[in-house]
Amino acid sequence: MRQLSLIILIFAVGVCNAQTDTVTHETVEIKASRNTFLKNSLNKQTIEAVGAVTLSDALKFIPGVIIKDYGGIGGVKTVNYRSVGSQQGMVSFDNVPMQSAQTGVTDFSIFITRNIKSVSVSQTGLTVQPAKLLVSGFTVNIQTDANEISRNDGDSVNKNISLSAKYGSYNTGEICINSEIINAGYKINIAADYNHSDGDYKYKLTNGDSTGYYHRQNGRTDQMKYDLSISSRISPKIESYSKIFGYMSKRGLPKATTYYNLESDEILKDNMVFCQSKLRLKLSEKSEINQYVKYSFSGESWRDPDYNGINSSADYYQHEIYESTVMSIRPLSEMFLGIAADYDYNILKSDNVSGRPARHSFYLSASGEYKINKYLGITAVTAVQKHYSINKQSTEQFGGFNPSAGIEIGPFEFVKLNFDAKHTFRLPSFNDLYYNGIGSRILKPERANLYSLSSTFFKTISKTDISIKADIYNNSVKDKIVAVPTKNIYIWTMYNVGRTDIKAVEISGMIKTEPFKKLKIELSGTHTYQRAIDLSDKNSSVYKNQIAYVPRVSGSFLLKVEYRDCFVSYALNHQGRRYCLGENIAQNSIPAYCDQTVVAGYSIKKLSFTVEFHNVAGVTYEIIKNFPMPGLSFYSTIKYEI
Amino acid sequence: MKYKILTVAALFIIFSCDDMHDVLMVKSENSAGPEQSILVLCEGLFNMNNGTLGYFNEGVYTSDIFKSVNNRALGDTPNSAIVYGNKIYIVVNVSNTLEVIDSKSFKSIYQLNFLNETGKDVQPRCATSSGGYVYVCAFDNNVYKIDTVDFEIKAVCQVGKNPDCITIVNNKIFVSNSGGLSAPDYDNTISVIDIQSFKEIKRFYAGINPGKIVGYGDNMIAVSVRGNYDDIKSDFVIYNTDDYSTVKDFEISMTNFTVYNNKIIGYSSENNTLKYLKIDEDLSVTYYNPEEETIKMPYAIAVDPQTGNIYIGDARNYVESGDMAVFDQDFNLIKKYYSVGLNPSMLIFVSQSSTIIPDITQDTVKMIKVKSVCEYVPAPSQFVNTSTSGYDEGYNYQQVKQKVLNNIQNGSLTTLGGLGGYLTVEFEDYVNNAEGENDIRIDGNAVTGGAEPGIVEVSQDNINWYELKGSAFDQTIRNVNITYRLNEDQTVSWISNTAPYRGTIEKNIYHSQCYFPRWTESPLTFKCSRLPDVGVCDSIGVWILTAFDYGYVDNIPNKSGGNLFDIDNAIDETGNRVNLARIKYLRISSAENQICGRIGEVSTEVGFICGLH
Repeated sequence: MRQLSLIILIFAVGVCNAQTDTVTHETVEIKASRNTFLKNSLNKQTIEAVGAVTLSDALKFIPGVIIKDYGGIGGVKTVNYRSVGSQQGMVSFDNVPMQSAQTGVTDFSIFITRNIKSVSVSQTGLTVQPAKLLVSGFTVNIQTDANEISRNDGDSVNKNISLSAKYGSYNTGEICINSEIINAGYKINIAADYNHSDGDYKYKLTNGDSTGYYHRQNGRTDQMKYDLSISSRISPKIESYSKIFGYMSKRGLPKATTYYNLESDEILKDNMVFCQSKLRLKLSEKSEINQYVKYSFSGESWRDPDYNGINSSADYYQHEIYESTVMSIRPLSEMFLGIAADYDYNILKSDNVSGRPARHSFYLSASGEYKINKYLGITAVTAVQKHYSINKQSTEQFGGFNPSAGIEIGPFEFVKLNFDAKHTFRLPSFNDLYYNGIGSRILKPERANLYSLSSTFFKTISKTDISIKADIYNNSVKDKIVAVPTKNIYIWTMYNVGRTDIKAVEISGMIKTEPFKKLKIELSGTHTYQRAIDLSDKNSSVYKNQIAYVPRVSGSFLLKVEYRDCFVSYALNHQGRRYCLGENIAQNSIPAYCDQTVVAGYSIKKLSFTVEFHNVAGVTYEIIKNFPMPGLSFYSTIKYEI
Repeated sequence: MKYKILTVAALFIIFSCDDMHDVLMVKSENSAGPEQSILVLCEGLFNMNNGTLGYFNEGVYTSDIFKSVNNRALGDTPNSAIVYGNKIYIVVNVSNTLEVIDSKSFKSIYQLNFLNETGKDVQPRCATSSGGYVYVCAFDNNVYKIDTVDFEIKAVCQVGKNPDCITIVNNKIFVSNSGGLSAPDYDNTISVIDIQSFKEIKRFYAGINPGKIVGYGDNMIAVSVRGNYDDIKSDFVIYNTDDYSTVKDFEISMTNFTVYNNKIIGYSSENNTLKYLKIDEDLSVTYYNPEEETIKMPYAIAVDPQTGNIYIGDARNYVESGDMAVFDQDFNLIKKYYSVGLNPSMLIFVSQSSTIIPDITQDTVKMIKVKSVCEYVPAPSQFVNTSTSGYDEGYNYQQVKQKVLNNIQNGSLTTLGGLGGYLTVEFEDYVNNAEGENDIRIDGNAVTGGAEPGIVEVSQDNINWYELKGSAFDQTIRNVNITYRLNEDQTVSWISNTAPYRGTIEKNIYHSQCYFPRWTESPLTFKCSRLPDVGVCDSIGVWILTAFDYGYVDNIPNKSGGNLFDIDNAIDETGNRVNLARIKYLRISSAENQICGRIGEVSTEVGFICGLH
């Protein structure tokens, strides 16, 4: 119990400085949800309001997040945050780290959107958690509905089952069940989702003077996801959370819209299953131990009948065993200390990777947080990590020290200033090290120094919550691991080259009000200006140019109006001009775009209806060069709650 | 109201302050471009649709002449381009196309989509040309034979894995089977395709991952073998194409090269160390150390045929706009042009002669083919008794004539040998004399500085012959009698009734066979006309064979219109013009009697022949 309140408390501590351990988690949740906005967090309602099909559709409303989306309805989607590469990031899925050792990235289309209670992105994160999560360049923290034990002191069984069906453009359909059975001392969550899309949306292709309209080829996807969780309170001092999560899919990978050759046949099949469990043991009023265990299997199979090489298919199999022990102590009422020790084992088998690379990883961290007085708090984390990557009788060792520290100053109750600094690195992935012909064993980790200064303002004035947040940050990435073509444009090799410097300003604000009874209005906007420039080589023509795929400006806007049982929301996502390559020249330019979504919902008793209009203006845009995104599309959902 | 203001304010913030502006590319400090006209083919990057065809002309650079002229993009990853006839053929690998454009206007003539019947990409990779056909090797393990009249695929020949480069020499097509898409299981062979039958006749081992392959001389191919980029090192080998024997295995790295005057000029960038190198005709290797930082990542190499200057395309780091540098023959930097395009992979010198070449391959133009070879009597020369003279082991005269007919119809070369050697052909129909227009096409193999002129005569009845007047008519020595004799030691000597009175035809290192036509008897006497000598040896020992202004076969390059002849130029024995409404017979005679160092005796070669009206 304390662990949870501790975590939530730390979440909320930026704004609510008067929390004590006697606070029950329900009240903390209220407090927290009111301020999630300031913590770069989205709750269930917001995820629904922006019409998120996959989780990445919601994440782009968090300032600083850039989605790499190759189009398609269920295609592979990865994120980067504050211009630190996606491989620097880590997913914390119900507090357990998740990252592919093969690629170093996570595909955000695998999650069950309806089962997510909240998602947030941060660079510093929590101070007391598994050590692996403390060393990442950023963390996407996903909390599902299952990750807490609701109170049910009565004898009756509390059932909460919702069934939903969605259908819309491009023959897209989804059936989802999300249920919760709560009894005294335990809770069972079952969520399952099947979706299909033909993904054959129409797009515009311009080539010089001529413009043609085509249907996207090979966008057909079928995905099945499930999440079975059991949380139980074994005794007043012991709680356990266990989960089995599975993802199976067959997805066409629509290729670039190559002029004169639009044929596309690449297929990706996924089969992933993992089980993870957390055991929480309260030692005393002031200390507790959390034990995390995870086993994960991931099978991926790629086919391209068009490929002219011998291997027009490749399979990848990964196994992971992960264990973490976190001990937290609270010696003073305003001080939290934590120690964590993690062990992680990954193994990969693939036709495209010779040998069978394996990696043993050890993480150790000590962290602390101390609120000295009403006006000043400090946090500090030190972590060490050591990795042994073994392949074909050779071992590559990586290790390092990851310190981070933060200061919080609260001159007034409603204003907070935070300064955070962190040094992190990312390991070369198995692909980086060993992929046939491309991988390079001599790689060093990619290092990043992250500094941010954040100020938040939160005040409630006559039933109206006003939140304003302004951040400035400076991230620098050194020894970037990038694929560089070496012999010709077909042969790429991984190198540690390059340095990026990112300086940015982020402003966001939210107003939440209830002017009349049962009328709720929520209005929020974010704006980011970032100079992410390449400082690798003074003599290069890309020196001091904005790095590829990072816009100088980006922003979002969300308006949600709720009256009685209906709501309407309008969401806008804007990305400024970007370049597909390092040279900021006209030939490489990708135009700015503005994607607008309108969602409306109505509930009647146990039934609710939702309609979504995506890309309302029907603009033609691309996130990745030559990978067009869908135009105006429409979905409707019916949900029944038992 | 309050929200309205806020909304407006929010929108204002979102759309304002995007100060992301394009930077201007760094241009050369020497603003004027090279004097020559050069095409710079830039591959761009995979999936980016940004291949370009740059063009230097009269000192001005156009970064994408293809798009400027045709208002559409060239496509994704153009790998190779060749100039053939009055057209340029561009192989676009990822777009799966062969773009055919006019070599003067750059207007698109045809776009061949290479998708096969199952819709599978063939990924065309590299092209070469001969005898009215363009041959394209593609990553789908095939070589495609494409007609230059209707641009249709006429035949397909399967070769090894992922062929990377293609060349034609000695009437054979050579394809380097790289297996690059199947790494690490690279291929290691070269496929040999007979040009007539278009069948693979041999596949021989050439080392792991053969790449660039260039045919030169009469029967040589030079091959860059790239190894596996790991433990198997790259290599460079020259093979003899008669018996596929190794002329020399150099055991050196040669990343890319070109052949100029039988010398190999290239570079190695193995282990990220750049070195330039030259291989002389005696196969000696000379290295040149590059000046610091002039070239980051060489990606293309070409030699200006007029000046001998070496041009190198610099891809920098493959993701930035590349440059082009000009070096003298000893790799001293002369000039550098910046930002010519992304990944400049090919530099092509294009002749900008003012001759207007009629587009003979247009559908509207008739093509009258050669029906038969009436006479074929080559004078002794280094090419005689090879397939270039229509000969194969044990052939009789009839068989030789049949083979020569095939050569002509396929556009393969036929040699006429030294002075006096001749060829008489009959067209399948009368070739009409269209007033003021060229009427006959006779391809040669002349390059600039490599003229080997032959005299053209026409006839209506194979009895009365009329010479087509050329620019050297007044200097022509007539009524020359030359007799070649095969000596007992298989050498050939000759005597003549005009100066020089006697001489021998020496064997060179490239051709060791007997030079006297095996199907004829010694001695062999020709009554012929002789043109002034074309060859001049310059101070460094390079022979330049300067073309006459007009009127001779194998004199001016085909692509510059040197293969087109007008029946209006027919004259009688006294030099007076005759009016011929039409002709049916054609004779070409070798008209030089000169030996030019290693090039050997000057001998006219004839390729494709057809009537145009």
